[in-house]
Amino acid sequence: MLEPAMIEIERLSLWYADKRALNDISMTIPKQRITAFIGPSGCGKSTLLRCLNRMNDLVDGVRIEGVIRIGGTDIHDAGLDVTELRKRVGMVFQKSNPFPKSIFENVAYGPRILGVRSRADLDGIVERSLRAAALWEEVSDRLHDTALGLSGGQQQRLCIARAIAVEPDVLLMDEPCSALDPIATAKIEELMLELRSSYTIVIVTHNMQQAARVSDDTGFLLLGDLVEFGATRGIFTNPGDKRTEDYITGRFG
Amino acid sequence: MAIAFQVRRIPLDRTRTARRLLVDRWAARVVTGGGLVIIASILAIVGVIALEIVPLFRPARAGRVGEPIAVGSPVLLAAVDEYRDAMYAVTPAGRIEIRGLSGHGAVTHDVAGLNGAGVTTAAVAGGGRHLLGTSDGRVISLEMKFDVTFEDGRRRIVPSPQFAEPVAVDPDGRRAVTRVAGAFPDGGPVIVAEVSPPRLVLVAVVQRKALIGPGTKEETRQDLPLSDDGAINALALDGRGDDLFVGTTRGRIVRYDLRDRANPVRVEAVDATTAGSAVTVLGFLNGDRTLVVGDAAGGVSTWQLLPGPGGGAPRLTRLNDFEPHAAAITAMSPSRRDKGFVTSDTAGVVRLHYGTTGQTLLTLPGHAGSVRAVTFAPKADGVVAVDATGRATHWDVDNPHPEVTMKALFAKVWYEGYGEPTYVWQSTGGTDDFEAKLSLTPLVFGTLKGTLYALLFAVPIALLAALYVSEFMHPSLRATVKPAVEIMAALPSVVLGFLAGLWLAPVIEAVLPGLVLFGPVFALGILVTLFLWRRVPAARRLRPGVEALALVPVAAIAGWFAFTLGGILEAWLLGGDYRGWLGSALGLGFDQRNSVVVGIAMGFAVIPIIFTIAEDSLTNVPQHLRAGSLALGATRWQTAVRIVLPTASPGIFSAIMIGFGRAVGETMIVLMATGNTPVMDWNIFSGFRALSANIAVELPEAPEQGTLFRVLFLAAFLLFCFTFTVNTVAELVRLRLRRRYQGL
Amino acid sequence: MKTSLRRLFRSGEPYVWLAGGALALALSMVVILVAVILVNALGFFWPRAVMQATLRDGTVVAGQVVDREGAAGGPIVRVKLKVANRDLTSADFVWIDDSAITARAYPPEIVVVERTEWGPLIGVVKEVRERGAPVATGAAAAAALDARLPAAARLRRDVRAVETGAIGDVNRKQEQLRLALKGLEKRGASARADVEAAQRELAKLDEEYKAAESRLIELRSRGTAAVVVATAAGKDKEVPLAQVVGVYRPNAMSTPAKVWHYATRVWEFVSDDPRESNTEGGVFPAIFGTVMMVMIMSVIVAPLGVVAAFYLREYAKQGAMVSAVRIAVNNLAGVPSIVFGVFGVGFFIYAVGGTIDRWFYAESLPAPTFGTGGILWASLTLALLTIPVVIVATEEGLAAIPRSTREGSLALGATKFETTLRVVLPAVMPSVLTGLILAMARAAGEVAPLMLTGVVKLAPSLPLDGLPPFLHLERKFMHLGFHIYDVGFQSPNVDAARPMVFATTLLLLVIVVLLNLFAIQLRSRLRRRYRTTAL
Repeated sequence: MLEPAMIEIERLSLWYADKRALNDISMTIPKQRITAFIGPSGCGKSTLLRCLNRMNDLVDGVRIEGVIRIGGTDIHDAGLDVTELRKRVGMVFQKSNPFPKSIFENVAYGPRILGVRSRADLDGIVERSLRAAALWEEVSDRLHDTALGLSGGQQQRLCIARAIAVEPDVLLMDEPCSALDPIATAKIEELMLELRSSYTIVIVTHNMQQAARVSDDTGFLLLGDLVEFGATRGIFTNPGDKRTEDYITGRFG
Repeated sequence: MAIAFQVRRIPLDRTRTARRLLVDRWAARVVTGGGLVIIASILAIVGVIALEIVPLFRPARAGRVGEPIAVGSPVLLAAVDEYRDAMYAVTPAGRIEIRGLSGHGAVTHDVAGLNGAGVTTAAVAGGGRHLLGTSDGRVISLEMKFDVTFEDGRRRIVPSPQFAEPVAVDPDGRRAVTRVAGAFPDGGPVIVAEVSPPRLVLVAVVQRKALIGPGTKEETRQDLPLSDDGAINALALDGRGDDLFVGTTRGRIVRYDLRDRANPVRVEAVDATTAGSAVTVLGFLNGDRTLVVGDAAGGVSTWQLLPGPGGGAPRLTRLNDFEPHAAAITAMSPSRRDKGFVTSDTAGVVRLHYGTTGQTLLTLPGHAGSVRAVTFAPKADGVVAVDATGRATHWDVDNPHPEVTMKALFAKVWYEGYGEPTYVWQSTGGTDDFEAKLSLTPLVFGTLKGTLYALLFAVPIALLAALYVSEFMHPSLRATVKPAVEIMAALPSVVLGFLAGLWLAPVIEAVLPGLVLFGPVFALGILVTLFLWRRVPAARRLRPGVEALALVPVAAIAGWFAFTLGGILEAWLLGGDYRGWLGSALGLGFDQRNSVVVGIAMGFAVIPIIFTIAEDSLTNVPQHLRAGSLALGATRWQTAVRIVLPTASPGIFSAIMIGFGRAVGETMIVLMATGNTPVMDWNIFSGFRALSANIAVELPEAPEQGTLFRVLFLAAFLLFCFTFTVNTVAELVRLRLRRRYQGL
Repeated sequence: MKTSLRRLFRSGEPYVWLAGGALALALSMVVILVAVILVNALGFFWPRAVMQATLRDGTVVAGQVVDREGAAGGPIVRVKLKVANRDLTSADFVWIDDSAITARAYPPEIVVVERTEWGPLIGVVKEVRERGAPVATGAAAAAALDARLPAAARLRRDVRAVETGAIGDVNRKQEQLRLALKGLEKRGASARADVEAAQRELAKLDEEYKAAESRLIELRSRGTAAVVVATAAGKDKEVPLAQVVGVYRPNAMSTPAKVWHYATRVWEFVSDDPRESNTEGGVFPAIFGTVMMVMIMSVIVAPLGVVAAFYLREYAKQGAMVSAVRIAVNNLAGVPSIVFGVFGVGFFIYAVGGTIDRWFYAESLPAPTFGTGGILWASLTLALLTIPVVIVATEEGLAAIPRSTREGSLALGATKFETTLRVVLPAVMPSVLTGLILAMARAAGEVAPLMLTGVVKLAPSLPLDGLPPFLHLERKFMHLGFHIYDVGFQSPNVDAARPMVFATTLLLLVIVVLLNLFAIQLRSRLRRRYRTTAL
């Protein structure tokens, strides 16, 4: 890990009401690489991801301890507003969630919120974002059609385009391919690898092959504990923990 | 592929972010505040309505005004003017003492025409007139006028007593008049006076018919027959001068019929007091129909002339007893606006009663000394009592709604002119002395009657139709039938009411026997159709689930057949006039706008509501339950009745409840399709008056803040509470059902 | 046979059919209702032929057959004729036994004259007069009449323009000045100059009034022509052309002419003012009042309903309290409309309106301005009545928007308000619209609360006109639903008014049903759309 750290997590714990969901997690995620969180359902990997852009704030009764720094800034710092954080830390959800608007408006939504008004600027941003999300060729002739008419894979790529339109530093992806067929999945994975040069990507996946295919680093979570974290190749070929090995080899429940 | 564009960062503008956050915070406040206000004001409806009702049940209040005013000597009579500016009293010395009620101003007038005699007795004789009996056997009529002038914007009143020519009761002019009563009907004045030694003299104008030309009028003077009922202690004569009541020391009331002025008759004598204590005070309530009796033991009761049981001559009947005084009653004074009155006693207690409700409302505070005269102010907003030492006490009375009590609204009340206590709604009448009859019971009854007949009609049709649509109907048809029924629910009730009143009512009147036959004929028609259906080879039958469509023409044919048959049967069995038959054989009256019409019209409004909710809950029964039953070999009917129906029964219950709530509150249909008479019988061929229609008819005419106005608000409040409760219960049942389905 | 019957019953098929029968009955009732309204309403405008019947006793009656009666399915026993001529004979309608008619004829020269007063006149044109002198008689009279009718109509329009325009204008100004004077006089000496100015103004207005009046007299004097119609009963009736609204000869009309006449009558119905205490003419003020009231209500109910729904679903902390409020609001939709009317009377009219009057219209007291029923109070009452509909529909729409859509926006750095405004609101708009249309449909058909809060049988002026402040919220108004109730049940001549009421009913029904269909359509499209999103 020679690259400079993008995200530093120190002794992070999280409770849903009285239930502890994350347990004393510390890790450092390097810049411009793809980091994957893996683990069985309910292990806390999505919760951890949602801590990074404070989406958990929306859930009632959540309590967090510990420090998360992104680009050196404490994200729970009183001086930092959550909207500012989320502008820097984009997110793509498990289920594609385009707004019931046109394709153009979906992508332009973030920049508009941030105060970009000029039509030319918006046109540029939309085109660049859609190109970056490898969707431009498919939709350039129907930018003003409703986004709900796109296929599942296209919708998910649109959501990626929408996320990168506000030029975040970090892109969080919460099982982005779980609802997609293999061909669409492959396209998204290819896209992730292309985006790696510009963004720090954190992906949650339950699909170990995907983690192995796209990620540089992998963290394995189990019941709220970070069991192991390190270079993907190392984790998959030579896991340091018995539990990791059990999970990877499919001996896990 | 490399990133094919130059990254031009979108700047993160801190001030802009701060502004956005501010907007966000304010928006949250505005939406929360606004939402709360809107919801609170929606829910405040019930509060506002309740606020209008509260004064109805506020007890009467009274407070003394100022210090007692010295009139100077014992008085025979006291009265106040309309605006309670001044009071006046008549003293035995023949003076009229006028005092400003504010404590300022004192004027004394002499009674005209006394010629040195003294005033021995005084009485109120209706129309604002007083009768004064003199020590030399004459009766003088006094009317007090107050002329109002304005000086520098302030009202000043100038009293001017008006006297009529004295009437000599004792032609010799020697014996004093000890009691007097009088009336001034159109035919000429009637005066009854007791002169000592005990003689009861009637002075009246008698009309003598002449053979030619106008009849002659002649003043007669005659003695009324006395018997041993005891010494005369009180007199009361009604405003028409027809009935004279004499209270005696033995506690009896003797009634004389003076209708024939030339031949007065002693009609009856009744024991009016307990333990035979003397009757000390007699007086009429406003309208001169109810007699108030006060006795030496302090008892106060009201009496009325009512036909005896099973008809016959009217007899004096006791209506109500009021809270008794501890000492002998000395005076009473009626309200001139309603059926209230005040009584006073020798211990100085003054009480306020209300005749219709039989309730003693109030004991006026802070007065001592035997009361000689008491008067209820003309606007019923004050009382003045004068005691034996000539001190006058003045009270403010705040009693805007004396006629309303829980009993008056919901229980039987004995109204004037009614043979027994009953429920009556009659809010306004033609005359000033009308007794408001504000029983909500007939209206509640009417509402329930209309609702019952509507539900009797609607529930079976709606539920069967819902069962059919959800269980047996072909899905493609269902997609069109459901919106059709929804549209049916949206029909304005004024349209239904109009059709019911102007089209359906005459039609039903014409074909009622056929309508009665329609049910069985239609059922038979369905069976016949089913038989024919089964004869058709299976391959050529229509697909299952469209039976209902096939039955529409059957309904038409059954209708035609039933109406024809009804006409024939009516002619054959009922002598061609079913209405006459209903009256003679069943004792039922028939109105054209009756409960059948309302039942059908309101049923029409309720069917879609019950249908929609019931159909929803039936359709939402999980499919696997049906599959399980059918897999066991049950028929589709068995599955529907034994599995689906019980599972959905809470939903069906709430459907009926909501239909019930809608029918209860329906206004236009009942307004237009019934005669709106507030009768109480279950006869399906008669009309009724519902709470809702009553509000619609009477509220525009009700004076703001008046008793009727508030009672109508109470009616609305009842409707609100009723429907709100019913709907809430239904909604809770439905929520529970939904949770149950999720568990299945 | 018996066993097969028992088996049939055990299978339950008869009961299924019985249930189907119930549905068939319900549907038949709808069909009958619609048919009754359609037949009665649409037939009203058709120029029916005038039958001239000679009776056995030698009398001749002429009238339009409007009803037939007989034993069910049997022959016609008697017919109902609209003989009109209310001012000559006492009744508009007569029932005639079929057997009493010895001869029937349909003379083409019979005319039906629609008048501004006394209803139609049926007879034969005998002559046309100018200033009492005959100018054309017999066959020529018909042509002379037709030639003069357009001028008479123009004159009537002019007279009306002066009446409502110039004279109404002066009246209004006088009233305003008088109120101002009253206010000034209260101030006493300090306003003496203003008082004098106002009085001078009043005097000027008086002159204006006189000028307008003399113009009116002059205009009226121009209407000199009259038509004399001989009725079947043998009486002659002279009708000044100023009173003639229209003349047609139903027996001589070809079918296209009848259709054209029908169309003009329908147009007159929807565009004209009522005549003869609402039993004739058109219902334009009622249509206008209904539309206006519904519009004002929508303007009020839409934002309030949306804000309340957004609060309940987006901003309030979900819990038992909010659920209770939600149930309460839902149930308010089931509270009888008359209760809302009572609330409107107690709160809007007397509490709020009374206060406004005391504060701002003290000069005109005790005559109330806002302290009595008016279109604003009626609209507010109906807004309250229908707000649950909008809230429920909006909330339903909000519930259908997936949580992930909101998260998507938040994850881009949007604030909650930005998310609500830019993502949620546009997405929920169709639901709001559906709720609003349903609310409008309900409001358009509602009558009971309006009877208490400001609807009248005949409003002198519309709530919207060319005089400042243009929108007169305090004015009373007419309403189609109330029109039905009033004309159908309160009018002295219900028989004559009945077809008119049916026509109004049809109109109201069409409005309400169209609105509902629109809402149902919108909702089903909406549901389909969310279904595709869910994929």
